[in-house]
Parts: sequence; C-alpha cells; structure tokens
Amino acid sequence: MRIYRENGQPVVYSDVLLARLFDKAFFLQIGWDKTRERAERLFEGKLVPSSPGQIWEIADTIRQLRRVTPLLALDLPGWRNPRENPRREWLEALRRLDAELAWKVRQFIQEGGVAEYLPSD
Amino acid sequence: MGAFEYQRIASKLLRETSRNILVIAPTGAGKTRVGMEALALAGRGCYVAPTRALCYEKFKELRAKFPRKAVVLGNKDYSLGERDFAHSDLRVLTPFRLNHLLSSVRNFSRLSPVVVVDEIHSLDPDVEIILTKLMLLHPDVRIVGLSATIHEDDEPKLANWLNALVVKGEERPVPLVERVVRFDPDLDEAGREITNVAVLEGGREVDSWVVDGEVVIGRCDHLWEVCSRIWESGDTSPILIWTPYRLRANKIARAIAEILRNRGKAPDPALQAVADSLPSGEHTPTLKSALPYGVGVHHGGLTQRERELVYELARAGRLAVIVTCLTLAQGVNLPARHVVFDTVHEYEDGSSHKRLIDISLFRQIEGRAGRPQFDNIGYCWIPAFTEVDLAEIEEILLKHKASPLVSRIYNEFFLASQVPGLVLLGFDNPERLAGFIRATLWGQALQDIQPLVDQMARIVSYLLECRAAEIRDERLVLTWKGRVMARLGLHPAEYEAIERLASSGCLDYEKWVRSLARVRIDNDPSSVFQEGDVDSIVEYGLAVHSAPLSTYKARELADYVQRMLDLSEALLAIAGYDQAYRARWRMDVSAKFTYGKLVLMERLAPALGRDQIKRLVRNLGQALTKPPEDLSHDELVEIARLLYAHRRSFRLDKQSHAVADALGISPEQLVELVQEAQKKASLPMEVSYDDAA
Repeated sequence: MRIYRENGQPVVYSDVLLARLFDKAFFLQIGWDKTRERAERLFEGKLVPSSPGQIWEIADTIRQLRRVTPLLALDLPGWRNPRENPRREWLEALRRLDAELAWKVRQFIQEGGVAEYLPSD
Repeated sequence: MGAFEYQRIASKLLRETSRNILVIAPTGAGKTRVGMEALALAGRGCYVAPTRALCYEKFKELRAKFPRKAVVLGNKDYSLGERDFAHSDLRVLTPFRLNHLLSSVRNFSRLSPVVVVDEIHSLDPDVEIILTKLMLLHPDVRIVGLSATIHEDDEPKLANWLNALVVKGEERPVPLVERVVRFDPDLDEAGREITNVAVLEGGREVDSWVVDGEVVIGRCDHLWEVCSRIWESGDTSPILIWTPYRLRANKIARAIAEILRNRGKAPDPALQAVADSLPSGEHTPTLKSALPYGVGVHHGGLTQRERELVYELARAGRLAVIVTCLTLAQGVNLPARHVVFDTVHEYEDGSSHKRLIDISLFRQIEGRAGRPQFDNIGYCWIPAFTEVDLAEIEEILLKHKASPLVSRIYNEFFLASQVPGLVLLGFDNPERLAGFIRATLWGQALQDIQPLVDQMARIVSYLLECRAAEIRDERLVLTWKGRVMARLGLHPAEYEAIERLASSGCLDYEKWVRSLARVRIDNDPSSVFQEGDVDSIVEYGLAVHSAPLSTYKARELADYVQRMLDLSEALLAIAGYDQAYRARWRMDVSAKFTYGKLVLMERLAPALGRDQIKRLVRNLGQALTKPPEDLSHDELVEIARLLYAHRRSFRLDKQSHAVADALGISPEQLVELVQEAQKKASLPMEVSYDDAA
C-alpha cells in the first residue's frame, strides 16, 4: 500500500478503507465486499441502531471487523506516528465503538424501539 | 388432582363452576393435566393442538389415560369426518379440522361440552374463528385455554374476550437459570490471539476463562466452549443445542463429534451399532459420524425413522448432545438440563438480513431446559459476540415474557374462505358477517366497524359474482356451489381452479400442481412464495423435503397443494365426476404428487399401494432422488425394509416381482434384500415363493 498526501489529507488506493475511530485513523484492507460496504456506512455514521435489522448489521460488522488487522494506524489530528499492523489498538478501538453503539441500542429500545421487535397486526 | 397450587385451583373451578378457564403457567409446570381433567370431568370433548406432532403426542397420552374412551385423531395425516366425530368421546384435532367440523357437526355442544385449546397464545386464525363460533353459537361449551407464553398485557385482553377465569402458576417447578456467554477477542501480553469468555447471570459475571486463539462461530467453537465448560464442571446431563437451520444443525453435530473424537473419546459401541444400522439418507452421514460419540441431530429434514431413533435415544439419556431446530423446540419433554443457543438471530422472511428471534419462540426453546420429570434445575446459555448483541439480549429477550398476541385473521384470502361457512351458520348478510368478525379478538379492538362492513360487502359481492351465493328476502343464501365451498372450507378461487381443471377432464399432473399453487400465490398477498418453490414441488411433490436446498417455503407450499388435492378429491366426488375419471385422476395427479417426477418412484409406484408409496417418501431421504441403477446396496436394503420388514411373511408374488423389476434386480435378489432387512430389524419372518407369480 502507498499513502501520499494531497492538500494535507492522505489519499489511499481505492481498495483501502480509511476508518477514523476516536482519535485515530486506521487503514483497512477488507477482502469481502459486503463487510467493506457495511464498514464504510458504519464509519460514516450511516449505519445506526434504528431497527432490529440494522442492529444485527452493526453487530455483524463489528464481528467481521475484529477479524481484520489494519495495515496502518495514525494519530489524529495531524496524521502522526504511523504504526504498522496495530492489532491491539484496533481491537481496543472496536471495543469502544461496540460499547458506544450498545449504549445507543439500549437507548433505541427503551425509547420505543422495543415495538420493532414485536409482531404487529 | 395436581401437586401445584394453580392446578388445585383450576381443578376446583372446573368442578364448581361452568366458566371458561384460561390457564397460564410456565413451561414444564403441568398445564396439560388441567386440560385432561376438564376432559375427564365432561367425559367428552375436543383437545386442539397447533401441530401434527403435538396432536399425535396428546392423542397417545389421552389414549393411555382414558383406555375406555373412544379417542380419535384428526390432523393432516388422519382424516376425521362428522360420523367419526359423533361416534367418539375424545378428539384430538388441529384447529383447521375442528373449524370445519364446527360448521357441519350437529349437536356440537352435546358431543363436545369441553374444548381444550393448547398453546392458545399462538392464536392460529382457525383458533380465533373456532373460539368465536363457540362463544356465539355454543355458549354452553366450556373453553379451557392453556399457555405458557402470554404477554402480560394480553392476559386480561384474552380473558375478557373468552369471558374466562384466569388461573396462573407463577413459579416454574424447576428453576431456570439464564446465562449470557460473552466472547471478546483480545491479545495476550505476548501479542498472541486469545478470546476472553465471561458468563453473565442477571448482568453479573459468574464465571470467566481465556481461550487460546480466535473463537470462530462458523467452526462452532463457541458451542464447544460452552459444552466443554459444562462437562468440566462434572455435569454430564444432556445438552440441547438450538439453531434455526438444518444444515447448520448438521454442521454443529459433526463439529462437536469431531472435536470429541480428536480429544480421544472412544465411540460408544452400542451407539456405533445404531449408527451402522442406519440406511443412507440426505442427513444420514451426519448421524453416522456423530451418533457414536453421543451426539444426535433432530430436525424436519431427517426421515421419520431417524427422527424417532434420535428422539428415543435422547429420551433414554443416551445422548450427551442433541442438536435441533424447531422439531424438539416446542412442547416436548426431554432430559436436557442445558439448552444452548447457537445464535439468537435468524433471517427475516425474504431478506438477506437477520434479526432477533421472536420472544415467545425464545421462551419456548429455553423452556426445554430442566423438565420436572428429569431435573431439579435448568440452564439456558445464550452467546453474545458483541456488546450490541448483549444489549439486545438483555433488553429484549431477557426482559420480556412473551410477544404480544397478534390476530392473523385480517387477511382477505382467509376471510373469504371462512364466509361461506359462516353464511351456513346464519351470518347471512354483510352486517351479520361483520358482527361475527366484530366478535373475534381482532374485531373487538376495532374502533370503527365500517371498514369491516365494507370488507364483508366486498367478499359477499365476490361470492355473488361467482355464483356461490344469491340474495333471497334480503338474506344471503348459498347456492350448491357455495354449500360445497362451506363444507370444504374453500376460497372461491380455489373452488374455481379445481372446477376448471376437472371440467376440462385434465389429468396433467404438472398443470394441476402449478394451477393449485398459483391460486395461493395470486390470491394471497401475504404469501411470499418464489417461482422456484413451484418448480421444486412440481419436481419433487411432497418429497420436496428430500430436495437439495429445499426451502421452508417450498415445503409449506407443498403442504398447501396436498391439502388442495385432498379437497379436490372430495369435490370431484361431491360434484359427481365419473368414476373412471376420478380413478385416473387419483393415480395420475393425486398419488403422483406424493413423489413428483422422481424417477425411482415413477418406476416403483405402479407396483405399490398408497401407504407403501408414502412410507418410502417419508423415510427414504436422498435415495429418493436417484434412479434405481444408482442405488447402493444399503439403499436397496432400506427399500426392502420399508416395504416388507413390518410384515410377518414375505411372498414373492406378482407385486414383489414388479418391485424387483422396477428396481432392476432379480426376484431372488429382492428376497435376499428382504432377508437382510429382516435380520437388521431382528424380526422373525417367513419367506415363501409364490409359484403363480
């Protein structure tokens, strides 16, 4: 993989996904299209707990992402301190993301989302 | 009678009042005994159970408990007419059967002063119609509803609707402990992959351990972790693993057996012998490889013999692990102290997305753990692979007792098939029909009745248009056609499709099957069948369960077409079609649907009776899909066993010559196969040769 800068932002090859999680940027190479597409939506904040189907998608995406080891991690802001194969901090970041999303799931369910799990007339 | 307080209260109410009773008690708390006592006190009655399997189990129980009573069974396998109903004391019925009998049996309340409805929460549309008919037309019939999983808000709703006294048993006689197993991948200090496993009970961690490497769901590692943890604690009670899909069930059984083998477990000689005796079928390789290690699998894709075998072994406590889908998940009593979920998510209908399983289904499945006959405690193990999973499990599955009751009668296809029967019972104008529907549980919740009256008017216009009814003195009167529809429970479109095919003298198997399937697909928007499902049932008929990658929907559609063929047969007889046509139709269309276009059965069928054909189709598994020349020796022995091993004697007569011919073997070879099958079945049998043949 080659990363170069354009107007201060990193530009990466199209098969590499950039995930900004908390104060870090992770460069991921995901072989499976479906996971890649879901991961993109998750990192862009488009995959949110708003239905049982989406909640399953979120959980499944996190499960799949845990099997991936990023190529590179950088600290944000400033894109500093490149680290190769940062598996431990990737798992830690995913754990944090998982906990945040779980909190949102509980909130969604408690604020009326429970109805989505029940059959309706 | 019973040992539990709620049973004593129910018993008192049954003896001292004539009120309807709704019994709500947890799984395994003995609700059936209340139903049995209601029937015993009345001396006559009906027991309604939602599935064929449960009907059969209850039929056996009733026969054992009331040896002097005439007990009869009416479901998809066993027909039960008005005369059988009138000449019996106790009837075990599916809702569909009872619904139609209610329109035709005279003196119903005298013949059946009690109707027990098991699993009333499932609220089958037929159950809702039956209960409404009973309350409006036979208010003296006592209704006893039994359920374990009713949503709290629905208890008063259902009790009010039934005007019933509620008897509740709050305590499960055997405590059930729910444990969530949290799997969290991590790295150890040296950077090696590990998985932290934590067991949570009520949100509190009660156990934890570390697994080297990754826990891969596809490899069933999570299930192995739970099972081995249970065994390490010295608990060797049977474990029931639930998974939503058959192929996955097979995979789990094979994976666990293989791990046991790799860890040095020796095969059990007795179980090995059982496995060796199994003929080959689609799922038999799984059983052959797993059974010797005490691992069984039980689902609807197995042959009847395999299912019974696994059930008996499980019941006798011979299996350490039983992997099942839905077949053992509802209403059965097995000595399983532990129920382990492979997953709590399944695919939504027609979608590539999954979602959490239904709450009531979850409660039914976990309720299999710790049955009073076998255990004093039960454990339910639920895997969570992320915090998101855990949030859903805790907030939905563990917090709610049941899904709310949902009426399913609001379906125009279903209602239109009910209306002729209702007209026959005196609901003979749109207002009266709407009044009937208004009296259903669904109708009671309606704020505005006008849309319902409009809907009834639409159905009535349809019946008038297709000449199933006419108006006389402002009353709806059924024509001959309408009376037949009422008697058979047919939708006008179903009637017309059958009439169109029969009146053209059609004997084309494929045309009949496709036309009948299309009636459902075209007229019931709630059905979500695919074209591929129609192709599958044309190809395989009722044997669609043996088809590679057969879908649940295809099996459902096959059941529907089978029901339509049964009704077609009745309609052809009522309508007076000539005997020669009916005989050919039975052979070329109806009987053929049992096996579709399967070459083996096409060749064998002319030599066999209907029961023999059905026995082969139910039991032969994947061998059904092979031409005779590709059958293995074991498969030929199994055919011989299914056809002849239950008999006391075997005669090489004209019929067996024809069977040998169809199988491409000599009559002498058939005799050898029968003898081998007999030896396996360990039954004495006399074999003789019929010279005349």
